[in-house]
Amino acid sequence: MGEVSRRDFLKGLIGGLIVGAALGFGGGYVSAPAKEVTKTVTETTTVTAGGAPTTVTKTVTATPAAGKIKVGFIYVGPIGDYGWTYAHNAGREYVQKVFGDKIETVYVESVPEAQVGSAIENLIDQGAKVIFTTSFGYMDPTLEAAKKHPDIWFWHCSGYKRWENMGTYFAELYQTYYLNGVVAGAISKTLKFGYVAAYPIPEVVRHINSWVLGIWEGLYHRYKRGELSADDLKKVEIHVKWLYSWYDPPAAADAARTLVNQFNADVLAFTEDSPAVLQVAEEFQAQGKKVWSYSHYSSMIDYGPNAHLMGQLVDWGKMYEYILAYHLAGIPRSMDLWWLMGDGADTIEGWRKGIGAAYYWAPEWGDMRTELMKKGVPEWAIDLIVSKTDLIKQKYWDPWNGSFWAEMFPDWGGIIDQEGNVRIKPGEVADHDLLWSIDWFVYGIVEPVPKG
Amino acid sequence: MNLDLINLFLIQALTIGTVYLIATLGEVLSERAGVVNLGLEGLMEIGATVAIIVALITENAWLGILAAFVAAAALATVHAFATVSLKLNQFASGLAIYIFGVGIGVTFRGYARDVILGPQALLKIPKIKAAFTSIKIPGLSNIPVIGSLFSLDVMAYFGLFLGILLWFIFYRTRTGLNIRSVGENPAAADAAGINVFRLRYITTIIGGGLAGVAGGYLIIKIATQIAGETVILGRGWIAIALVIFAFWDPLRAIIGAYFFGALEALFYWLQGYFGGATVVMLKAVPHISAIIILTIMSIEALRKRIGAPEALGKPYSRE
Repeated sequence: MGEVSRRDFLKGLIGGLIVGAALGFGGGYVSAPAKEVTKTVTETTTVTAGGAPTTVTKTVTATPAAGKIKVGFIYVGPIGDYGWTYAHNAGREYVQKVFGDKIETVYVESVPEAQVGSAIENLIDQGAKVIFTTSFGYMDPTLEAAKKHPDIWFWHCSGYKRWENMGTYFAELYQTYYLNGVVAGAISKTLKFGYVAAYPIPEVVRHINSWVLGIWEGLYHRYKRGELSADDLKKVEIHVKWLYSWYDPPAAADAARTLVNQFNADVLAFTEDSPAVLQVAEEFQAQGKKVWSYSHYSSMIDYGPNAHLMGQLVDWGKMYEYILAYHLAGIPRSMDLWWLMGDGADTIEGWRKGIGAAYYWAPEWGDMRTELMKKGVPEWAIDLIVSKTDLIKQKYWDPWNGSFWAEMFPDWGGIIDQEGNVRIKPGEVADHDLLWSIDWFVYGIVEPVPKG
Repeated sequence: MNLDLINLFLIQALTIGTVYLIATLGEVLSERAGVVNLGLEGLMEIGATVAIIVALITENAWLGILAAFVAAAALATVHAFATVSLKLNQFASGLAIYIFGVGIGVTFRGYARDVILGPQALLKIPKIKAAFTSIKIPGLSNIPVIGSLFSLDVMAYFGLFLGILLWFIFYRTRTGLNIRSVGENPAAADAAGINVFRLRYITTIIGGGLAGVAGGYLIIKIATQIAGETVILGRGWIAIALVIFAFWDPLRAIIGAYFFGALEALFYWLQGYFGGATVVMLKAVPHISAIIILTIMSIEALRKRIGAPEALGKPYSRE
């Protein structure tokens, strides 16, 4: 996952003398792949590493922004109080705070995909120099606009098309789904799990699979501890219900109720842009039935305080900060940013450690250990999650690793699909391409992946 | 298949069906008197917004439902004024109500969340939902299949009662006869001394109010949201199609609404047995039948044969 290109990350702050102080970016940093920096060598400047006295001489073409940069954001939904667009808007508010009077942010919400072209023109007309378009469906119109306006910078979230003045960025959640799965495996009493899914596309299939692998690790530890028998493991079922919609709260709620009513599932994960599934779990909790669920993209805990375990959350603010620092330093470049847990702007303390955009526990939920134990998550599972988090952040370990599963479940012999075929052999780790085009379910999921 | 599962499935189907039922009955009432209201979707959205806000403020779901009725009825009054008094095109006015209702409903819900309610309001959701907890009638609720009919919440029973009541009014009372004659031949009814305008006003307003109740029930019972995003998502249009499916008969509306509720629930239940792709067609069924039904509706000869009110959609003016 881009490890090689990051291996030669610069430590420190590029253009530290140019913008660092001015931004009050104190203790902050911006790092960039060295090879990219050398592409634009013309002028010598100094780089201060995280405020430390080490100065490195580097050459960059830096034309720091004169005055305020106007930054535009285009959202597909309303900024609301949860979900995808809410999280992006929280990111916008964050960069506005971080960069203060260096930037001015504006946004347009609820822009249908067909109308993004005119929204872009409108923002340019208002003087926006950097524009973030935050929906997959905005990809082509954004590219068109980038070709038409070479002096404006575009950043498209979740797409794959780039241009000289158009970059892409995305925060990938499969690792957080995995850790959410571990907690599910540790807490489930019925050993039946349910997933309410939007569309059968690789992103969603990858997230379901990662969650299910997490469940298996949680269950494995219970088996090892003697809490579950081998027969119990054979009873495990994971059921998936498809909505064929990204947003339909009544439908998501009904799918979630069905998972509980039909299969007795007691942990529900989902890909749908509302807290409906969590609310259904809360509904069952109110009736005395222990059913658990999560937050998705932003904190939804208020919708189900009793049923809420953890979540898959994204801190877009850190990504926006990273991207905009380049613009403020006057050295923007087209990049393809895919941030996992712990990816991102690398710190001076350890170049492999990062900030990351994806996380599973929001600080406002209180102390993770206390809160999860209150809900009945065993302490060993919390320890496991904490240590796994560290390994994942340090890039020492990834769940999509054949050897790990072959060792844990010898009769699997790697990561196996629903039919039991080994898909990831020992010694192999699923690469970006495999995960981004995945169309099969891992073992334990009952329903097949819908085709066509 | 486990009989308990059948009961659970039916409860789910009947619950979704209740949303359709109440909205459909409202539309049956107003169409019987000759007024088509295409604004159902918007009225349901307004109802949903007002219901959730009032319920959260007062911590009382019933006040929420009542307020939803009043708000949607108020908007339906506009439709009645436009179509009955001003004699404007019913379809155009209905579409305006639809666009206005969804827009205002969604916007105001977002505003209320930020300004009126605040995040604390979310904590009251379980409390208001409790009003719609299903009532299990001891003994009867344990009978397989039929038992589901005895494990519903108050609103579901209200929907059933309303269907039977409307049927009774239409076919067993003088008022019902008057309503039907206004829908069939307003001129004759007028000549017979029936106040066409007053009856059309009343049926349109009450019918619209019922759509609000359906929206309120949907948002409190099925998907409790305070976000500034629509929650109705086309269900109002399905209710309009259901009116025709029911041939403007309240008792058939009960069957039709429960059937569509079952289709919606089946979409999720069947995935467990046949996989997603096989049943994805099911999801399209309500919409496809809506298209077929509306097509039938627009063919004059067919319309007559299935018993559409003769003067449906036509403004009445004294010559």
